[in-house]
Amino acid sequence: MLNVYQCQVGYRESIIIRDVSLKVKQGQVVCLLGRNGVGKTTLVKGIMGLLPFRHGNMQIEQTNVTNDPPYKRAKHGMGYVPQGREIFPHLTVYENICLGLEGTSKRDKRAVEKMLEIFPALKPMLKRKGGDLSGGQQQQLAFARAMIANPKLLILDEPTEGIQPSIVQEIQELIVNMKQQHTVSMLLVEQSIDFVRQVGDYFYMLEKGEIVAEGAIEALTDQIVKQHVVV
Amino acid sequence: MWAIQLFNGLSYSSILLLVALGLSITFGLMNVINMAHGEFLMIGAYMVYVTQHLFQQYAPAAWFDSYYIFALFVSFTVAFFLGMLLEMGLVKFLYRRPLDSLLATWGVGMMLQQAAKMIFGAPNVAVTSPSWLEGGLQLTSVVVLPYKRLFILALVIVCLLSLYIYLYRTAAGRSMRAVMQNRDMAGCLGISTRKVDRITFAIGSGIAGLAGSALALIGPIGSSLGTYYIVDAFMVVVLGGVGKLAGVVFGAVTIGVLNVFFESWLSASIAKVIVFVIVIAFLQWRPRGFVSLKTRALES
Repeated sequence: MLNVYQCQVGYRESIIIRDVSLKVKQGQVVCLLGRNGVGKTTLVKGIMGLLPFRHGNMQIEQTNVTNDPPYKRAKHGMGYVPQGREIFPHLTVYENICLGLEGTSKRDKRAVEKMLEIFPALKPMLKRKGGDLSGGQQQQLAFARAMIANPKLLILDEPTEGIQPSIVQEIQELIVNMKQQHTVSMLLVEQSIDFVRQVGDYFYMLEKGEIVAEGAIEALTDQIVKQHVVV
Repeated sequence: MWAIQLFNGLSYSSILLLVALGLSITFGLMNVINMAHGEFLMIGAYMVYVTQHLFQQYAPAAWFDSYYIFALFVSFTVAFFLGMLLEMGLVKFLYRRPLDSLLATWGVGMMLQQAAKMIFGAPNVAVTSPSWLEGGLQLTSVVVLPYKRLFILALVIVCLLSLYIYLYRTAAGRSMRAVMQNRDMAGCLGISTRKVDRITFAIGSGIAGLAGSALALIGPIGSSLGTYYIVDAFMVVVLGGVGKLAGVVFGAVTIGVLNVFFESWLSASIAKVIVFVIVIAFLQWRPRGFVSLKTRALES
């Protein structure tokens, strides 16, 4: 599904990510772990095409997309729920959801209704500005916006960060449900080790921009967690 | 008496608004300081001149009165595509460097002025207004509203409405607003940000062309036509605040009406000085202008 080979990513002169290789197989949930500041979001931005690869290459389903801009990657079936949600603050909730369809040829109305069945909390909000929503509502909106296009690969960057516990619960259930349907592969950046163990198939542990441990989720021992995640 | 003043003020406002509308897109939405904007006005005005000539030479005399309607389309289209060319050839390399884009587009403006001098000659030219725009609406024995001014007022309203519908009621406009609010995220959703930039800049230029064709009705056409309006246009956009159509309308009406009001009992240059002082004072109080979108993109 997704194949990243020896990529180097950074901002301007500084290189953050060094020689990272990573694979997401069809239907898998792959978790990217590590402390704050080790480069998880930088790597994700590299994979989405927001930061260029200095080295290395990347394929989605055997298509080389290393030099493609983000919008082409989206058309290849990548969906993105970024850190901080990145809702368009001056667009209505309805418009925000519709924008998720830009990479597809689907039409707005029916697809939006389908999303509202999954996220009923957004229904009374459709005419409000995206910026007026609470953090949790914005996170649901970010999911709706990404899922409406039926992506083959979802990139989720800390989807439960900074929102109230009840919605954390909902979002975790949502991810579990999506996994059970086997239609979408996921690359999940997540801090909660419990949730990672519950939903993940495979993990990569990042430290100082390099992968220091990887393996099937059963191999994510308390020792690895203690060594690389717990402060 | 005050009715005439008010009409003159609104008429001047409508011209300012038309001139600034394109700028509010390229400068307000895209943050590109396009100093060649004035030259797109000039191109629009010359296109009216060219269309008029073509009609005089090749079309039956009876059709002559309709040339101006065609000229509006020609002006918009030519300015639209020249704007697109300018974006693809120059502006797209300078999005992260506003000062460089200011200098570079200024250079382009001078090149366009020289080109106009080479093609049309240095002296100003004029167009013959179609007969249906001659004369005016007689309200009382002293109050006459010229049809040309009324036509420009109507043209502005049509432009504003079309732009509003495009921005807020179509999928293309929705993508455009998304790109201007958060370029990276818009790209990640599958919106071709390059295409949106190109179209946005072209629409801004096209409206400048349209404004130029309105200017052709009320004054002589010359290569430096745009330079008379460019400062006022920037003032309007800055005063109104970037990112919203309502801001441009506010800016244009304020500057236009104030200008005419002061001109009625002071000299034209003193009036302009006073208006600009007021604008500067206002901006001290509200540096972001009358209405402003608070987005992270604009703060950086």
